[in-house]
Amino acid sequence: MGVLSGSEMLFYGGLAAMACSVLGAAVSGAAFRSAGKRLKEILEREYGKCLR
Amino acid sequence: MSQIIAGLYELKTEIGSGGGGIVYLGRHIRLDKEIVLKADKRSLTVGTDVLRREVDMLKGLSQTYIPQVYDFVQENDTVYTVMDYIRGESLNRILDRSGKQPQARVIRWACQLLEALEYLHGRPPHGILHGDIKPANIMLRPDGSICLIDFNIALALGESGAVKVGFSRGYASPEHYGIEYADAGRRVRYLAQEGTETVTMAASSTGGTGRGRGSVLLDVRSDIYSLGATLYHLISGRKPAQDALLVEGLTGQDCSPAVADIIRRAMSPLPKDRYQTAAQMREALFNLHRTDRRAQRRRRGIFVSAAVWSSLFLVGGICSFVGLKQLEQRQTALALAEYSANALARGEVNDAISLALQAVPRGGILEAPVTAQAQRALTDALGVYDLSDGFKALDSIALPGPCLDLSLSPEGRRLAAVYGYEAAVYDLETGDRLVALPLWESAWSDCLFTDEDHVAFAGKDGVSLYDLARREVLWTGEPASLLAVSGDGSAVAAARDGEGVVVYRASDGSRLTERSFEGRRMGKTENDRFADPKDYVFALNEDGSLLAASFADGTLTVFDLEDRESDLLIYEGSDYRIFEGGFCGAYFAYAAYGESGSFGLVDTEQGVLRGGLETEGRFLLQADERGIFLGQGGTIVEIDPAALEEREAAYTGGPGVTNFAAGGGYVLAATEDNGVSFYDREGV
Repeated sequence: MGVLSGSEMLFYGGLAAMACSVLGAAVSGAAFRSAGKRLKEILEREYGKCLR
Repeated sequence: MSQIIAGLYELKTEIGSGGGGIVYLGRHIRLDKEIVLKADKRSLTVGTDVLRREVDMLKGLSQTYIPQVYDFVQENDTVYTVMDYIRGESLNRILDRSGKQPQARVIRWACQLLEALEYLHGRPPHGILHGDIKPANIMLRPDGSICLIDFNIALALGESGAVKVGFSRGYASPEHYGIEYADAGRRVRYLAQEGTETVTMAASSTGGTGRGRGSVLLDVRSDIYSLGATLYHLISGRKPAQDALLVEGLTGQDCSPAVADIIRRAMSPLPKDRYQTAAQMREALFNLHRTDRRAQRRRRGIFVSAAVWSSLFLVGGICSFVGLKQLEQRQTALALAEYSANALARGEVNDAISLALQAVPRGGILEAPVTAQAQRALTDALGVYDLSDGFKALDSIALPGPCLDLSLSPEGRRLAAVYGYEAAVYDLETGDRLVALPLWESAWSDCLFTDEDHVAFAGKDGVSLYDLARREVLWTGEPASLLAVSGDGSAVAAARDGEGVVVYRASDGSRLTERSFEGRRMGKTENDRFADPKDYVFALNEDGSLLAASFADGTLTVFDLEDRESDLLIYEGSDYRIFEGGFCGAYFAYAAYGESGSFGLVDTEQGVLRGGLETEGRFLLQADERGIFLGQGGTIVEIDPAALEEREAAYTGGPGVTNFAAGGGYVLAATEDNGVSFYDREGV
């Protein structure tokens, strides 16, 4: 397997970036969702159930 | 004994009294339902019509958090208001018993109260003010909801008349006291008398100016203040100061900062700084979850995260797209370069150039850098060679095996390769092998071009001349191995070691002359079948009149083929065993080696030695019609035989030269480090 050319690096690097972004978004989403649940509990404890 | 009022209502017990009158628990006789009868104190001071108008105003109210008013009756000079009996406990009793209340619960009560206020303030034609919101006037029902009671000083907004009623210190807005601030810090006017609990008020639907003497103007923002003060008490356990400017701020121990802000704004000294409507304040409470700093921080984080991942995805997509386009273009360029090479091989130069140009990218981000194959295709098609790094290889021809010798035709279009008693002649333009000539079985057998189309060779039957165009042997002479061709190609000298030399006319093979070597051998070994050490001189001059030959005994002679008497004996029986040499015009240059080396330059016309030098090492000598070149170490010099001057033709700068060929202003040199270098006229 030789050194990748610039074009190949662009192509595969772009695919890798897209994959990382999807993975990162999924992980971030899960983290935010979990944090959001905890925050909702805290806010309901402080302010009561959200009336909106 | 219970009293019957208006034949409908039974007064049972007194359950409370205050500024508005006495409150009785009663029973609707017909419906057998608990009700509240409120005997209005003001019936002594205001007209019945005023009270009836009030009740009529309140009778139409229907809201979850406001008690229903059913009836208005008069009995014995007392006016009774009949309304819902609200089971539960007032918030002031809860405060007295339990102290401050949990924030979440207070917020829920606040929303319910604001819903009630929004309903009241929105009643046609101009809304209704409660006017006395305080914990004592808020009931907590068993189901956890609240009810706003005691509308004894409720005012219809926009009424032209004024009503003199009481208010509650600490919960009443500054306007209740007749206090007005020019700004939040400076009191401007004070209308109410200090120490009194009552003022004469007028209710404005807009909160504008135009109040009468001795009266203050209230509006919906006054109720907002009172509600804020009530919430302050509920959430902190402390009753707020009467002076709005002296109200202590709520701390982190009382409530969250966002809730403190809401209460602080509701209790702003200036009405214009408060929430302007109950709906506004309720909206602020509804938005607590959303406006909380932690929630905002989380939303900000989500936004930033989404932006980052989206950007990365977009950038990745763009890079991938660009890379894909470049790869596609590169594949196309490679194919076009191959098509160009194929077209060039077929001789279709214009097509080759066109295809090669298409293979070269125009530029732009969607095109890959130019490929080496496209570059080569274009340079091949255009016939352009880059000389900056050296000569470009023109072509290569595969030989059947290691060759013993190579000979190039005068114009360089043909090549003769000698190997294994056979000489193969190739056309360098097409790479085709033109003929394979069988040679005399000696390693010394030569094959030399007389011109571009004729080659003399030491054939099996004798020295012969082959015509490449006619593909036939033109003539054959006596058996010989060594050959020499004159510079003009007119004569061929053929020698057989130990015997002598015969000179033929190249055109027809006729004998021109012959000389005997008188038994002297040129080779130092008996058997010449397997090796040709190339350690001898055997050369004709330009016109074939002189023949130089060296012998194994160290003799070096220049035979004058036209005049035997004019032979030049350069060395006779010397210690030199290795000779090199050749003719350049009228001069014969030679190099001789034994224990030491010697170079000499002979003027054959004068018959004198023009110059020479001795050396310990060995020279490399090329002497022919192209010039006289001498190489030693890393230097090759060209010698002008007439002026006896040297000119540096090549300098390797390090590695020694092992072999070289000079001509046409260029020198091709092989060096000790297995390198091959080209040098131009400047020696570069």
